[in-house]
Amino acid sequence: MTVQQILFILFSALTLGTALMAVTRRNVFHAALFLTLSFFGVAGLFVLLEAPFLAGVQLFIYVGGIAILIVFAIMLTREMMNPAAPGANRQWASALLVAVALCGVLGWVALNHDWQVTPGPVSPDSMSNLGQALVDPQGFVLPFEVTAVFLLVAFIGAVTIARER
Amino acid sequence: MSIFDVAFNLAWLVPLFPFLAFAAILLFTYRNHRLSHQLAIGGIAVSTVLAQIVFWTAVLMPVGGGERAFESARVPWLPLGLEVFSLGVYVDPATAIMLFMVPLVCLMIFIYSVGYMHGDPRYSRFFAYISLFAAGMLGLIVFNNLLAFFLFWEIMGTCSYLLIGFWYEKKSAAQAGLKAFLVTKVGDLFFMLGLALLYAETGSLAYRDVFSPQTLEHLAHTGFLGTQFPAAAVIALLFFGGTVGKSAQFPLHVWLPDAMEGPTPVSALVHAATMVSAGVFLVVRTFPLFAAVEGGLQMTIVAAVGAFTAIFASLIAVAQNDVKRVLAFSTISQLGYMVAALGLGAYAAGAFHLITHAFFKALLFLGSGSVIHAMKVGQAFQPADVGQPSQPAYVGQPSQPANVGQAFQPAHEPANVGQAFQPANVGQPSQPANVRQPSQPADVEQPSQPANVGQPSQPANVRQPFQPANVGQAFQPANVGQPSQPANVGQPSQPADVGQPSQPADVGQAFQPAHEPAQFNPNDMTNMGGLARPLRRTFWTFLIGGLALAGFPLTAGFWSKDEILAQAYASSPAIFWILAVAAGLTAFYTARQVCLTFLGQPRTAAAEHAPESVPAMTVPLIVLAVFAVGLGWAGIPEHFPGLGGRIPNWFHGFVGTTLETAHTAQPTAEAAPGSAWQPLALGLAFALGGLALGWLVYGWKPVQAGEMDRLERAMRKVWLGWLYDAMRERFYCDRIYQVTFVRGSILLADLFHAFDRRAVDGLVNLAGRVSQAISRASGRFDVHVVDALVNLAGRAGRGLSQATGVFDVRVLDRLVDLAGPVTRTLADLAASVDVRVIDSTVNSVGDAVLIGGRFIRPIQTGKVQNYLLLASLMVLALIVTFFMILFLHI
Amino acid sequence: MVPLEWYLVLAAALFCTGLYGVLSRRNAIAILMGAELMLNAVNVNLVAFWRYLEPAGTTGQVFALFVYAVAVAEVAVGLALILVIRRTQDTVILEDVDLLKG
Repeated sequence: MTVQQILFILFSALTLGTALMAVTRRNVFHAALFLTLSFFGVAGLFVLLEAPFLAGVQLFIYVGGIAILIVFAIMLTREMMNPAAPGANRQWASALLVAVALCGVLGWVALNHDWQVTPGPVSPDSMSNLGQALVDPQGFVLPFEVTAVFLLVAFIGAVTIARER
Repeated sequence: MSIFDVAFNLAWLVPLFPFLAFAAILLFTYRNHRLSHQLAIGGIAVSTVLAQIVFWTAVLMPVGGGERAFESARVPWLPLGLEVFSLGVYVDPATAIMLFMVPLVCLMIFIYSVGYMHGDPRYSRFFAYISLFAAGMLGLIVFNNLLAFFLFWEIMGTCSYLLIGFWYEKKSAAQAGLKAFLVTKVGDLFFMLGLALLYAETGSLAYRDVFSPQTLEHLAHTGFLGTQFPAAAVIALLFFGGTVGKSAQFPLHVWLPDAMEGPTPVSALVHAATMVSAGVFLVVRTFPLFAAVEGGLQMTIVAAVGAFTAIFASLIAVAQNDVKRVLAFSTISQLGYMVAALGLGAYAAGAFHLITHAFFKALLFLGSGSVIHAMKVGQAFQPADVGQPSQPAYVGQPSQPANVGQAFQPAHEPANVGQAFQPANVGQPSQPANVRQPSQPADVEQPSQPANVGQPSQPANVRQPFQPANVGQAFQPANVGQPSQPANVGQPSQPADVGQPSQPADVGQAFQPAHEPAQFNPNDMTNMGGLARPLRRTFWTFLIGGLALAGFPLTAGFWSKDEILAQAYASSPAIFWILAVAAGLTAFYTARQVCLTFLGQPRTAAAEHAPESVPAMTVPLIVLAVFAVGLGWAGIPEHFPGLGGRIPNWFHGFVGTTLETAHTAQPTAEAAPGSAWQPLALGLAFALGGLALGWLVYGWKPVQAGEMDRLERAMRKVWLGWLYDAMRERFYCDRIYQVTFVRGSILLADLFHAFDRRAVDGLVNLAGRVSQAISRASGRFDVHVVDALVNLAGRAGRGLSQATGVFDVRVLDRLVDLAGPVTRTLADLAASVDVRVIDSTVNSVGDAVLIGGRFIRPIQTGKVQNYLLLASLMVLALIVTFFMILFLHI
Repeated sequence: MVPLEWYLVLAAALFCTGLYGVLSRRNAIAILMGAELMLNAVNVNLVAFWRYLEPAGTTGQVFALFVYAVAVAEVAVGLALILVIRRTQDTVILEDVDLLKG
């Protein structure tokens, strides 16, 4: 068991464990907190995968943005939830079945397929390569710009939807 | 590695323990009050021990080759592009003496807080905050670069906001916290600019790099942005801006008096030992920058600001009646002293005064807290005989202008904040909580009735629900039953309010002029008097602290102040005389404070019944008093006749070497002046003269209750009443700032809002209106042109159709009518076929669809998650099918 | 070296946990949280593939970045919708919002 494998097990235990808690907790605020921890776990996994920039982005966006937003929304809708109400709806059994089945199928596919792994090293310029790829005309500059417009539209849309009339 | 290295390398642990205490209290021990204060005191105690180890190691370390500064290995901390900021520990004599003082004073204050904050519902939070505060101050001291310094500086700023506004239900407290934060933020802005400039010029912020001789040379000779001002001077002045904010120098001093809204231990911590010292410590730390340019403007500015602040604040302090306000302005004044000393180049003198001031000012604040606490207990005191006919002795109490004025100054006086937190049992041995409850309808509301005099059976002026435990009442946000009293949160929750028939405040309301019945203010010195007898320990320690502040011989304050005066005398007569007069005023108001508070006879019932405080509060006072006297012996200046020279000036020797290691040009004022008896004599004269004058005016014939302040009376007689009013109103600084900066910002915001509304929205509306005009034009085109054509075509068509119609009626219809019956018969036939055959087919199809629909309809439950489940099932099925095809059939 | 399969299995498990959350939670916000978990799983998958199959390139990371952008937009709009639902239907329990019931 190399150090990497041990770290992987730790991080994935954190991620999966807190994710499971997040989808089962009755108190939705606790669930949000567990979700945040799960995000941290994923960031750790990114670090293990030698993508530190993405780990940083994960923390900024998910923890620093989305988790906060979710907490806000929970606060804004707090009185709606009766704390004694069950957390799961009536179809939870079927949902569990489907989820487990899907996990099984995906896992089986993952384990039984020959991924042609090329374990090359990650270039030390990977971050600057990433940056360049995003603005390269032969690269991803179009999706990049479109994403910017898209985020603007989403932002305006969200504000318009939620506006007080 | 020598033992010295080991000791210094552990210096980083000093801020760690209070920080861990802070985290632990917030996360784990929040509900357990006792454990919280144990954690906090444990943390700071460990820090004290470690800090003392570091200090004594620094003192006893043999000086090898003049290098007295130790820096630990640097840990990479903040990678920024190609650069990496590292963090390490830097211990030099300045650090060492701060490490000696800060944890010790903090420890005393923490122990004191156990007694003072007892019973407060947010007790644990308080200890968490002050632990964080201590961690911030200690971190600022030990780390080796200016960025870390700034980080901890800001942590302390945040903590001061949290702590000053600790009792945040009281609006004035919340506002005071915000004011402190914002005003110091103005100073911090300058500090940040200085940091940026320094980094741009030198590429580093670590002390070792910035204060090296080459860097200082470079900075002293580089012009700032191409002008001829040396960059070193500009950077130094920008840093000084931060000091002006944090150490409350003029003009950014306005936050400190309002910061008295916080609990007294906070006042002691923030405004004596730590936060304000941080500002001065900044100048001490960056002193080589100030001294890099010889004879520079920056030193003059620093000295001038310091001296002006010293005298300005001491003038205001003379006219204050609130015991903590006097101390607040005193702090501002003493900080002015230190800043002036540093501006004159008297590095060691300024640092020495910083250390001694921390001790005796903390002592004075804690002592005043003890007094205030005693006054509140005394106010709530209930003698055993119900009915209290003996009240008339205090009838005359609150008709002083001071009280009335306080009713109208909600932002200034922390009138009854602390009253919210009466510890349930102190000082009320004869008070089973519901003494008079059965005999009163306890719900009578009595805000302001002059007729209270002589009505012993009236219930208290509080509509008080029947509550045996009163601690929780602290947080009634509405002043239940006391609508007309501005500064009054917490008044309802005094345990003795239950059934207390006639507080002196009630009785005294008979004498209030119209509007507000002034609430009893326990901080007001005019309500005190004669407290020396009951509060023995507090009195003696306070006296020692006051004498140290005034510069009485043999106290620590005397030695440090004398050294500053001596240096000033040698450098600049103007500054010397300003400081000397300020020293005289300091002595005067100190004597006034002691006389009004402790001597004479009690002026109110509260003062009469005030008890001594618990040992948790008095023992720290005693410890600090010992230091306030003893510490002076470490820094006796050489020029002092007799003792000087015989007992070496350890302090100067220890701290002065910091300057030597920095290899800066020695400011000329450091040379010990030869003929030095004049400043000593003059300083002594001012100090003793001020004390004597103060005692003569206020103490020889004790001040009676209801008497106007004697100085005020004297000044009004010589038509200087306006000056006294200005002093009382702090020279109107707050009002000026309100009218200029605050209103100005609001006006600017309104301006931008109007611009946005008219210009920007106007453009948008214009676009809309243009579209509307275009559409109207098209409409008109459509109506006038197109429709005309269409109408023409219509009319032509009508004519044609009319002709056809005639033809149709006469000719065709006859034919058609013929066909009618024929067709009718055919139709009947077809109809029966249709009804019987086709319709039944169609109906059966329809029924089939209905049945099928009814069968399928349950799928459309309208619930999103059901649809999703179906979709997931489908996806799963598809995947499985896909892989089955892939793997089984190929 | 951690085998690629471990990452894929982890991502699959995380995805299915999120799916379970989406399908079985009552509170609308909890459903959104499940969706976020699914997106996280996708990202883990993408980065794992990038690392193990083409570490010299940038496609995997770029794809993951766009997934972030989409996730952010989705959360914003989704929460706005939830707020509106709460305002009009007076509940955040999605089971009770069945206006399209046949």
